Amino acid sequence: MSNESTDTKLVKRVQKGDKGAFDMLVLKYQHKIVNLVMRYVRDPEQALDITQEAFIKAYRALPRFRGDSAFYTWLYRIAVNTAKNHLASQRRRPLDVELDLQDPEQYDLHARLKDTDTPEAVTISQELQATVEQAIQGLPDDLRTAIILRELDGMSYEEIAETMECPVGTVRSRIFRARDAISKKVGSLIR
Amino acid sequence: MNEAIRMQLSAFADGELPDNEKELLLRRLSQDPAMRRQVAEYLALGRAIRGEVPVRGIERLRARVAEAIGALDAPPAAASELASGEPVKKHRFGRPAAGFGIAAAVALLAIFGLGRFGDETVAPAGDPALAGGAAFPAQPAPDDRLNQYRLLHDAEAADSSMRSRFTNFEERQELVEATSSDATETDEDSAADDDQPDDVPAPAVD
Repeated sequence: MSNESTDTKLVKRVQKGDKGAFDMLVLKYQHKIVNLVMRYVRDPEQALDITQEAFIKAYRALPRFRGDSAFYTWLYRIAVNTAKNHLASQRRRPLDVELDLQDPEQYDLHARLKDTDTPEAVTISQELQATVEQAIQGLPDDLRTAIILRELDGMSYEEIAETMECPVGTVRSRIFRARDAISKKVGSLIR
Repeated sequence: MNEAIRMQLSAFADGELPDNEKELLLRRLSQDPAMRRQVAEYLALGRAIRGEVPVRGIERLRARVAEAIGALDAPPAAASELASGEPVKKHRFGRPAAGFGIAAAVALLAIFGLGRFGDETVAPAGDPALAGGAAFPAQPAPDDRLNQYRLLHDAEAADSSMRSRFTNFEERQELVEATSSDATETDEDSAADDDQPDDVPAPAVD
């Protein structure tokens, strides 16, 4: 769910008063934005409050968003400024001043390196990952390959189709069926 | 939710849904929370496969945002556009003229409208067609009635436009506060304001 035209369509729907479309944008970007904010404030509760504020500011400003920049770039900057304002109000400095947080593309790399997870969260994550791993191993070969190429290698459907020498429609079906099977095993843990 | 829809949602979560299927699905997604939950589950599954640990409490964030924006009014253009299905054209350059229109309409109504209501049975002096004739209720000529209607209509439209303009200005003030981090704002910071209308003066930074 990463192409620009989807965001543009969603933004246009929000501009026509469709709050469900804004929920889709929140769903799509909430993790990226909260991880970004966590570079400024380490407390997850504060980070969630700032993220919420950033989304609300974006919602209120969306009627005047003309699409000169990508929606995510625009949202990213609102979130950065909201986090900075929060720190300024508490007269504190960002945690990661050395990072170039102004660049969304660079930030995505740094986000993977975050070290703010609690021991409890890490334990839960390890359990979840073990269950997911088990579920993936239990898949038929074609489904397992398709979901790994997609989720771990980040390949597009077209690239996967070339790799697996099958039509794109088949890739779509295999990824869906793989997700369905994994979801039956771990769904309750991630919902 | 049938399997075909769930397969579409799976492809949508990957950004791989063809354009011809996207429009309809987006419409359904925005109206159906269960479909959005399904997309959320596919995205969460992907994060679990990649071993990404979500921030604690993030599962409540969407509900918090939804609750907060639920308390806000819909964007100004919303009602009329949704009703008609057509985007409302905004005549930004006509707004100053509309403002003058209010004053002109009020002045003209005061001169012609009030004068007429106060002296309905008296024929206009100096009108040779009525000179020496019997008094009769003065009816506005068809053109005059049309002009009055137009003036009233213009005044209504201009008033509405001005109200919208003031509302937009207030909202813009809040956006500028949101996107201006401090007095030493960088170019990147200010770039978030690039999407603002250029017909509203930017407030001074403290």
